[in-house]
Amino acid sequence: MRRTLRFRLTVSVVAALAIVFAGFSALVYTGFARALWRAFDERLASESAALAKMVDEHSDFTFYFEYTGFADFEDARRPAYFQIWRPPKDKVLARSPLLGQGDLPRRPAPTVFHDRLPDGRPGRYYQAALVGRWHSKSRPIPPALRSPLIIVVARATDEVDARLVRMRVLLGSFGMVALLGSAAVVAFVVSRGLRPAAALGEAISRIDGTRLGERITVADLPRELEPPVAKLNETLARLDEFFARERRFTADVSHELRTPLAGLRAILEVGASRERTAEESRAILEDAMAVVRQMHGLVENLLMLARVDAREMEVAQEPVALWALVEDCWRPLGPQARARRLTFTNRLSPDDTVTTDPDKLRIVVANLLSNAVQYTEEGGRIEVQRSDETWLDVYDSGPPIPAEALPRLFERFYRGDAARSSAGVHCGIGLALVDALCPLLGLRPLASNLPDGGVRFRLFSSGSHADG
Amino acid sequence: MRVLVVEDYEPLARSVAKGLREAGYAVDVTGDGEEALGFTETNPYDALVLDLMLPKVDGLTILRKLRSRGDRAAVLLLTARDRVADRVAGLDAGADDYLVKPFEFAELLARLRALIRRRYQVPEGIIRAADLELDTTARAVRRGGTAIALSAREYALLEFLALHKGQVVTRAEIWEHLYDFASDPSSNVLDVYIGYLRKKIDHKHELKLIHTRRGLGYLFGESE
Repeated sequence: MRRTLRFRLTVSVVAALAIVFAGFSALVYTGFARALWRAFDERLASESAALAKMVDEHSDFTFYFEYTGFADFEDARRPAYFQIWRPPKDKVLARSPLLGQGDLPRRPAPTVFHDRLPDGRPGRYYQAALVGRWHSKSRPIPPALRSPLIIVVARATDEVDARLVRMRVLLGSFGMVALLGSAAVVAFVVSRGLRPAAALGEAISRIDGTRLGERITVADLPRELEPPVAKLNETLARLDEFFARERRFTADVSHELRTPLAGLRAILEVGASRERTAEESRAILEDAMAVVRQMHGLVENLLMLARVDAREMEVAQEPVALWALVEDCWRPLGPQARARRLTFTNRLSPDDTVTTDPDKLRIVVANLLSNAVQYTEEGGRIEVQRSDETWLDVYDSGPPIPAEALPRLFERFYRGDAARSSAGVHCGIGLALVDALCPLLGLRPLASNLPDGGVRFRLFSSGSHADG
Repeated sequence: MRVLVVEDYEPLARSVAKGLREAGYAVDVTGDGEEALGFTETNPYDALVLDLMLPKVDGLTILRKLRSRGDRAAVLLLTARDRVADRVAGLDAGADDYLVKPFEFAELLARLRALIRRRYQVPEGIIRAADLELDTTARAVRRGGTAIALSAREYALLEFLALHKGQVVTRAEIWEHLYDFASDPSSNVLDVYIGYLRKKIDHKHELKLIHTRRGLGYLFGESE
């Protein structure tokens, strides 16, 4: 059963109160009943003592009962019954006048007990034992007479019973009223106490996808609720950041795709706007093809990135000749590098073999080299090497990366180019892909400026430490 | 009309410039925000086609600097971002219009024409002088009901003169507005084109519309 917190708290507090009230009432009732019965029993005892005084003995060891009259035994409306048995052989010595020839019940030993009265009403019996006083001390008492007289006095209990019932009703109804009253008070206090929780709930429900920037603030927040609220705010901040990054990424993707698309469209529309010679047409198609190739590369990179994000990548482990792989990656960049008079040196050993995923490593190396080619000034140098501490090191003699761009270089679509390059190069996601693929290969990329000029992109084995 | 295309994506910049030149505009191109600012300082452009995301100095900054200098060149923004906030920021910074990439080149031309018409206060797009009618939308010229065929250069020159109807236009002004950096600055070219225009427009008519103001420049209009 899922009930409100307010309901649960109210019910448990009221239940506890009910137990307290019940216990208290039971205590009061028992005390009251005991006092009533004690008074009742005292009266029976005094009546029994009065009866005992009416018994006397003859000198021949016989009893006689001299009824002197006693108002209590003769009130017809609420009579007291008595009966006295004498030894030997339990002969009836006396009976109350109302009893006629009937007998009162008795128990084996002196006690107080309940039983029906001869008139059918419920009654309480007082049974006492009375040893004969025997005035004559000169003769020994016969053994049969040494057992005591039995006196039983009984009265109707209906009056006491009625008072006890009244007491029960009183206590019960008082308890119910008190319980209902306190339930109302408890419900009020509980909902007052839960007000911060309700306010918190309201504050939380106000937050939706469009308001992730807001934080939950509740005035007068109880200390118990502080940690979850802090945690919630922290989660919100992280969500907000995540969505902001996602929005930025989508905007960047659309920008990066729309710009070449606009170029392609302009090339084709301007081209088709009039008659062209065969040579002009070929130039237009080549322009268009270059844009298509670039878009194709971008889309491939995006897909690869999405697959890494979705953890759909299987990582191969096979021996790879590193030198040859770097040469392979350099080959498509050759013409561009030659046009800008860049010098490329592959310092790896031709027989250096590593165990890794060649396809992914190829993407990583190709992106690092392509980045170096883009940013190295004309006539500059690009070098690839390996050492004991760096798994792979791609150096270029290009201008330093601004300090504020260094930590963000591997972000998707980070436009470090806007600050670093004078040519309008769209940075895209090459380095982001490097960053995403490296962990799969057990590598960690790090970009740094060298003190005496040039930039190094280093890949470290995940186990080793970078010096920054 | 002289247009500066500021776009850092080279294939797009190149083809837009090509298309604009073929439509009769004098076009300069740059992919660099700083360079664009330099260009606008030294040349009176009629219009700028301005990309928002640029290296070094972004499009909005260029726009604000341009406007704070009092440059009233028509500015058509190109943006790959289609969020309302981006467009509002552009328009608020002083842009006259915007296009979201990718766009249709014909639309770019139409919007540019509209901006230039507005700048020269020819809202309906037709300039009249005596019985000559120049339709800047259709880029067509008629005189006395007869259509006159003009080359792109001739049309551009006539349009520039007609937009300044009744005012003397200096040779330097014509140069600045009709020729870009790529043109060969031999001043003789201008006289040649004026000659062509006169032949096509005024030759058989009593009322001459193109007048030479010796030492000053040219004047287009009905009266001397």
